[in-house]
Amino acid sequence: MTENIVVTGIGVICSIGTNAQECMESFRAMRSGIGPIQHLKTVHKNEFKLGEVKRSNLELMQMLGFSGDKRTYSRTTLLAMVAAKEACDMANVGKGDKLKIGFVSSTTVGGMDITEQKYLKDNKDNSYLLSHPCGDSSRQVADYLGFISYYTTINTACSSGTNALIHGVRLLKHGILDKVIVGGVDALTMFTLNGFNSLMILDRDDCKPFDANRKGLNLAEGAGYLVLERASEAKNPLCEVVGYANANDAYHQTASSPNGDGAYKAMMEALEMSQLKTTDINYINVHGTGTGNNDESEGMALNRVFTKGCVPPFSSTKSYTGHTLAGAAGIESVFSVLSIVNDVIYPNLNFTTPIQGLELIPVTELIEGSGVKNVLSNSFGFGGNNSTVIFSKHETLY
Amino acid sequence: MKLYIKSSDCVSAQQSFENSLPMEFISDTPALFYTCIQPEYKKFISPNLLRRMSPIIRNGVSCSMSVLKKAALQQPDAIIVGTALGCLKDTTSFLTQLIQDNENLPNPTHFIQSTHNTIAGQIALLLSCSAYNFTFSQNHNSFETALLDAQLLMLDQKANHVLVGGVDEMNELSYGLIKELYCYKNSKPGEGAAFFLLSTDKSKVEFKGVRIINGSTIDFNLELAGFGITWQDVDVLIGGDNDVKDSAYNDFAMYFYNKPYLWYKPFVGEYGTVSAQAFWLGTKIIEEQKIPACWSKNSLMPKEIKNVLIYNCIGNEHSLMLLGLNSDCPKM
Repeated sequence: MTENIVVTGIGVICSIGTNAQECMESFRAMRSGIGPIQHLKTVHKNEFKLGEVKRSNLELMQMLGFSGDKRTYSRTTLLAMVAAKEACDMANVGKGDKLKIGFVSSTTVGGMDITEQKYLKDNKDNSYLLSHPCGDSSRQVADYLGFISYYTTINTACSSGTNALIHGVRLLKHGILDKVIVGGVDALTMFTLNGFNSLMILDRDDCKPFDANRKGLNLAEGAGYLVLERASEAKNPLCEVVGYANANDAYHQTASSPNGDGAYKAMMEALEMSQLKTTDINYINVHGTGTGNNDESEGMALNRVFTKGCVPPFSSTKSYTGHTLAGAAGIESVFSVLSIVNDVIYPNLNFTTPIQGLELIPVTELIEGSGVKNVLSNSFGFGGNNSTVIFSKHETLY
Repeated sequence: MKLYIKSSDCVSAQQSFENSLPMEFISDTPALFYTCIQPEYKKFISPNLLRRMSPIIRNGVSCSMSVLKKAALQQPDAIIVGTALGCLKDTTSFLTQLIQDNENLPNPTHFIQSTHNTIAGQIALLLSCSAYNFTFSQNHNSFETALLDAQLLMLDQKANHVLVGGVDEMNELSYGLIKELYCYKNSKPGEGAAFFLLSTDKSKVEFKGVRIINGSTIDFNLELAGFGITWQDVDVLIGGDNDVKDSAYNDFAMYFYNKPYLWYKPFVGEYGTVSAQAFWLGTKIIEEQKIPACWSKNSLMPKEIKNVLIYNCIGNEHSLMLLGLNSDCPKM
């Protein structure tokens, strides 16, 4: 039960890169992935900017070596396969003998990208519906990886990936699994674009997280996965998972409470588990969607947890990637691990004016070599779901 | 540490809600799918809120509130929900509007309520419960993985009372969206909600574990050993057979040949979290220590009802859940 859990592999695909290295290059070049719509089929093509993965489905299939494969894969599944494969390759997962390896994923839309193109239009062949359920993308990824004995899917909206991590850690600690791949994925869909548009929380220009003049989020797509193992059995740990928590805001179905009660609770409980002091946190990867409500509420919670004026360096990497919904927490966990491994703090793009009353100014230039040891990452979602995870430099790496 | 079912309830196509185990079934109708008998929602939900809730939320919330009421508990330490297809009605409504009106301002309410975690979120909201809140959506293992997470959370001593349940909905619009799913090929779809208060407080029914197996075959010897029991210890089986010829359960029925065998899907329908109904059936027969004849598939009755083993299998997703009689239960 007291067994420590470490990260031994990471994989990511999003608008700023198709793997971890490409994402780091984009961070260093301060190059955002948000731009005009290239792939998504929608009548709003010229109205919004999105964080699309710069690959067509066909190109993703080529990356996976599926060139002759006639089966239909949802974009969600393809993105998950690319990132999960990268994470497994790095950790050498699947090459061990008789190990119990699990896959705990998360998605909010599942195969909606296919469903929305065919539903009500093609009544002859309904086989596309098989890929519709959230759990089906995880089943397909598990089949593709070929060594998964347990898989499940979490859908707690935009906090999902951290909750997948929490469930995965538990499975390791109780010996139900020996290794687990955790994270999340979502592809861009007409469904979510119109959904967020109907809520009027989309910025038509580049999003400006934590800026007083922020107008909303940029919808995006991607996947991020981590391989977790028990520290005693891991060969090459990248860092350690030292704290995590999940709480509910219990305020409103979609909005966050003005004081960020759920966010506060999630951060406090994760800190308590980690036994770290607030001053030990070197970088916070905030949820920071760029909506009026999220940033205000999360900002209040940050000031409550760390005290106003003493909040550690923070930034929202959604200013690079856009908001990938269930992909966000997995992707940002990967970025948090990369922050520790490369000792780098990412800037928050498009920030000029602080939100009045919060006195919170995100990092706006890339910081290298400041000695990043402990990183806290927040992920919040609809339904009042708030989750926090803390990664620390592993003792063997000091 | 031992875990118990402190209270439970079930909304289904049968007279199950706020009830003891039905002694007879409401006869099957020619409808394409089974629909739940609606609880008296206004007992649990204010009319204002009720108007905006889709059936899955109404059934999930009513069932949860009934479970908490029976346990005389204001707030659980965690809320964990399993749902295979989530809020299908709102999803299909939003999708249909989107396509038919060519993306011209669809109704945001349908979008807001379309996410799978709306059910757990609404329960938290109504209870003002800021505790741990999870939603699992893994096809036919959605309830089972929720149950496993609840068990591990309690073993970690992070919670003493966990509200855990499985819920899915069906309606005509959604039927068009799901009828092609392989699990419905040889069965009649249905819907329902079954919720449980898993507790460290002693009760008559002990929750002895859940085993989730992803693969083409299942080794029952190995899985029983995982529970710490043998063939002899199992008194009653609950199978997920959809009809008398359902070959998916051949190996299971063969392995446990000549043991009392109950079934339930022909009376409530098939759906992703229907195994939560079996978990409720298992809980009730242990509590009541009797089995109404209508639930029996092979007409065999046990001498005593101690260990009840539930098996569900769709494609490569298998699960086994074990419930047991706690003989040193304090008088209720």
